[in-house]
Amino acid sequence: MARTPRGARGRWARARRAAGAGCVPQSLKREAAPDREGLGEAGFAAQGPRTRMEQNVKDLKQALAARSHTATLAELQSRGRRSVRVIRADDVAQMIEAAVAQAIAASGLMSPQEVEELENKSREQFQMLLERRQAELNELRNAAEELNQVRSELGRVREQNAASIAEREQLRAERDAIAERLRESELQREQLIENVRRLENELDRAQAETPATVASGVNADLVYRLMGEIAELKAKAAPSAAAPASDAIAGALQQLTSTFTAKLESLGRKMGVSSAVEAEAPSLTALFKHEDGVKLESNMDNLTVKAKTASGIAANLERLKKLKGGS
Amino acid sequence: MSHTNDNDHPSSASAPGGGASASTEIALGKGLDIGTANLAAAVQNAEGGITVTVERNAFLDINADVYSKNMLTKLKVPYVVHNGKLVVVGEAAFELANVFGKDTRRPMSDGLISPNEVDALPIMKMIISKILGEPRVPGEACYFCVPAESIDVDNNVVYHQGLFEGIIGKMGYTARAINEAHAVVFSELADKDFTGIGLSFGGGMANACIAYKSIPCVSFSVARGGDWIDKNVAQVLGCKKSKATYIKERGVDIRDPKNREEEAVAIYYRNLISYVLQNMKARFESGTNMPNFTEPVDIACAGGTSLVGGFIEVFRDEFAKVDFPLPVGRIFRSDDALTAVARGCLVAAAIGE
Repeated sequence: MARTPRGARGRWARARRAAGAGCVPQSLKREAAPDREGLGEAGFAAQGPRTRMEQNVKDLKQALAARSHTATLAELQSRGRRSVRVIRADDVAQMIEAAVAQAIAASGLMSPQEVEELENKSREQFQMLLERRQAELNELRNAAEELNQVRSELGRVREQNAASIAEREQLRAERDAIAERLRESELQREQLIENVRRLENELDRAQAETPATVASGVNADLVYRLMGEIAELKAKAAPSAAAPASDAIAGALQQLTSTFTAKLESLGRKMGVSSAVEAEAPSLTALFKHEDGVKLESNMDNLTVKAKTASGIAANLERLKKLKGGS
Repeated sequence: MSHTNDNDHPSSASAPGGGASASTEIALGKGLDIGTANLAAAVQNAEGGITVTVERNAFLDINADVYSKNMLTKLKVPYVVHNGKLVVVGEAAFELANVFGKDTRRPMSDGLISPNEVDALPIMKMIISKILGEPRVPGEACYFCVPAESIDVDNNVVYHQGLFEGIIGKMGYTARAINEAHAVVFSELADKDFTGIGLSFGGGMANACIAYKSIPCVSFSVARGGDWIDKNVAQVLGCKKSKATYIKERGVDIRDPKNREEEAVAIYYRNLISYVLQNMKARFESGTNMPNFTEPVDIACAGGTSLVGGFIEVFRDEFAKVDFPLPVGRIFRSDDALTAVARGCLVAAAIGE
């Protein structure tokens, strides 16, 4: 705060003289102010007027700080303010004190001592109010923080809950699908066991019917037919990868069909019958396409190979042509 | 094997005199025996006979320098420069290896192209090109032999067949594959209407085929041959395999071995023949494609491994010990066992099988 103008200070002095020296609280006089903390009313009253003045100024500053906000020069300028009026806290405190003293003195209701007592009590009240206000502000701040934390916790819990609900629904759907597949696998298993029994009976019948001169005891046509049927059964019995619950059943079926197939194929191989499908032989001509034009250095062009004559094949060719019915 | 009318099959030309009659036709087409130990190419010549060119399927690498090249050319030793090395090919490689006490490198092993010999293919191509020559007409048929699937080892003939189809096709021929033992039936069993059993005892394998009127019924192979004998003889005698081969080929009679080396050769020969016969018996007994032979069938043996003295006599001895499931008539060896397979391939090429 800036200093008060000279005229104002003169008016203050005159007011004081008019009110009487005894009515003017000593607090108007400036003295070094010790810390008010823990002094109490009597202690505060025992302080000299300068000290009390400084304490008043300090209280005033605290009160002003609690009810004011800081603004930068740039902000003030942005609002169109080019100049501000400035006053010192000391001067404000003095003005307040003088006004109060003047009012009390003018009323004549209270003696200077009573005035001073009232003043001290007021200050105490003021300090208490200030401290209470500060405590309330702190409590409010803490409550706001707690509220924010609770809100974020609530949001998180809500998200978790939504995810759990979705997961539960998904698991329900999977459970239903697995149950359905298990029912289908059971039906298939019964059907396959029935088919295997039927094929085994047919095989036994075929073995019994086939003449003894055939070493393997199984008719080739029957072997082909049985192997074809087994291949179909194997294709049907292939276990689904997405049905973990039916793995044991699928494994048992697989083992059963594998054993039967191995038996038939072993019989077939002995007879020269194979279930393997002939594929087209690969052409390896492309292996040599990068060697066009590559000629190795050698002397073989200069050498003649040793050749010998052998008996002709004319008779062989004639015989072969006759066999094939050609001319 | 189906009979196809090849539209590109070259036309025949008449030959003046020679052969069976004055109007003997000279059919185009060539036969190629791709053997583990030897490569042989057969072509019908203008006189109605056959010209067969044989070259050993082996090579040996030596240090490359100008002096060596000149010397080899002067000595008429065929060589190829490959990967910066001088590679002597064919029979000369076998002779040089014996002189230097080394083993030759073999492009084929156990009847099939060797996966371990990365240098093998270009060398084999050179040798085949040399013995086969250029096709007389573009797309001339060339039938080459392939072994049957072995019953005693897990091998894959498909790659071997595809590879050589490619090599021979690149040379301008129309390449076709024929089973090795089936080729023996074509060359040796004409007087029996191509009915009987053909056996080819090669370097890497022994192949068997039973045919009825030129149609092969059952074919198989076993992965034992001349190389198996060499390996075991070398082990017993503590010498190089090429030395064992030399002992075997210099003139041994396995009925009457004269020394320890010849005894070793005789033992393993007998074992090989017995092994082949036992497996033939088992295979023929189990096959349902076996035709019903009312007459005894002949067994024709061929292949370089059967050239050893006393082979057919030992074969008959071992055959007598086996209760064979078929009636057998004559057991004989081809008059030209080394070229029988190539000649059989030529017959197939000429007729367009």
